Amino acid sequence: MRIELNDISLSFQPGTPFAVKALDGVSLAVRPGERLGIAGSTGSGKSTLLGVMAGILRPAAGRVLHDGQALSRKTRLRPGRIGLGLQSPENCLFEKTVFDDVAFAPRRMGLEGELLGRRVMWALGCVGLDAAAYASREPFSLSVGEQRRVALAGVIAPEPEVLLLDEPTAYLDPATRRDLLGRLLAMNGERGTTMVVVGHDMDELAVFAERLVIMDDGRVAIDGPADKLLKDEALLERYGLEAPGTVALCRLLSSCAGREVAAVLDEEEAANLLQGIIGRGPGG
Amino acid sequence: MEQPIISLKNVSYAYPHATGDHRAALSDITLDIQEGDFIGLVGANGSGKSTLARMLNALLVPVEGEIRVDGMLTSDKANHDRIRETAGMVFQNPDSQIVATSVEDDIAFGLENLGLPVEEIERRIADVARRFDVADLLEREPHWLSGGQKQRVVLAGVVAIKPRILILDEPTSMLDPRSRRQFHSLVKDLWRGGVTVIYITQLMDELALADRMLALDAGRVVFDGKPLDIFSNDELLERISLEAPLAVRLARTLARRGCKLRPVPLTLGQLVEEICG
Repeated sequence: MRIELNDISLSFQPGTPFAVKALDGVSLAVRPGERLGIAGSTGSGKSTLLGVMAGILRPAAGRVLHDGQALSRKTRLRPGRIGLGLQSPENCLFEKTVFDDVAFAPRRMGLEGELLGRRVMWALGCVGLDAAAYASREPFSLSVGEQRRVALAGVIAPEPEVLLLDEPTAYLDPATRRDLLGRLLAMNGERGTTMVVVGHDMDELAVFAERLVIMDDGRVAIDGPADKLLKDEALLERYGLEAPGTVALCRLLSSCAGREVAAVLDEEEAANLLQGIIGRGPGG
Repeated sequence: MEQPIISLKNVSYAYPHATGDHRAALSDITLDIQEGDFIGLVGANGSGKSTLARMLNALLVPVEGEIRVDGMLTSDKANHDRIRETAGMVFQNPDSQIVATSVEDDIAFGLENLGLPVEEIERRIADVARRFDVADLLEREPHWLSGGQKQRVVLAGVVAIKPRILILDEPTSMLDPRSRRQFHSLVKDLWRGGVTVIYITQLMDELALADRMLALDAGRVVFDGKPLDIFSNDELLERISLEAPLAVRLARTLARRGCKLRPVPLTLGQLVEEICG
């Protein structure tokens, strides 16, 4: 699915002294099959942007198009086409068992019996939960990290064409985080699922995103290839973001080696760089 | 040795409605925490970190064993008010601990419960509002603040009580990098001022200050020691779903290729210093 935003503006608490312009003239197109990362400081409009893309937040001005069709008050969103993972998805759990919660959307799409069971098990696997151990548990007896994983499984379960995920890895332990990113990449590679992921961790975006949008004060400040932007520490710094670890390392190396060490994003490459400097002996 | 500020003896806990294999949230935990420690508490999702945190300020009390906070037994209800003044807690999600309709009232809430005189309450609010950069927000409705602002409000409200122990349960998971750095430096100042810090996180870079790491796995303490020792233990890291910081990972890749760095660097700064001299 192609999602287009044309000159979107949206305010919260409009008409009050505390009115905040959440989005201010945003135009953006998400191409089918693309992996788009969205970064920016808190309050820059990232989450609002996802809500508008999904069609659940109606902008005060501008148009949202899904596959060229402008959304209107009358548009009914078909279940299963877009999966939206909210910032605190644990608040969206409501069923009695983990299985039923993850099965909710697939059921609405008509899945039942063994097919449904397999789909739920697959989705739980995607978020690193052992399906046999978790399926019959009560969501509210789980820890916040586990609840988040269940909620995320529920978003992934319908195998939507588009996944819009708001900080999907927050609260996840490092192993699960790496694993989830790998599975999202695989879904994108194998099924062509379009991915829009809001994140604060530039190391993760370096692994995940092909294109990066940086939001600032409700506007699209920067839009370009992720690998190029993520190597630009000064630019990231300007928008309150932290460069990936390998990029910070290259800056530290540059200043002590007394020469410009070109930034890298890959850990293997970073190790090669270090080895090269050690090989040359003191002074580089 | 001085009396530990927190002491756990054979502590076990099970949530009342849990069933089957998942009954035990904590199993037989014995440990002491000294005043002024900075402790990193780590473990996979569901390993018992938040349960343990709630035990330390008597939101939960052990089913078996006992916990003392500054000598006070947590199982004795008569101690609860004083325990909660001693051990302040910042939860994962700031929304879950904001109670009032203005930032000022929210910070005042805990102070009013202490029964402090009005002038003292006002003095403390002014003090934390300045230190945590929320002075301009005092009139605002907390609900509409950004995540970073909310978390500063929460920390201000907890610190206003002047706790000697600060328990932080993944406090920065919802913050952007800038707010996260701000939050770290606030915590660092408090710790330097003598506050005991127990910091729960999934982000290993946040634990640069920790002098001791505790790791939980399925409700049991599986590691209690120096940060470097846990990060050098591959088998354990994998078992508890942790990842060593980038500097440690790079040093180990180099070691595999035949260049060993001594000592093993924990931060990128240390790594570069060892390499460039």
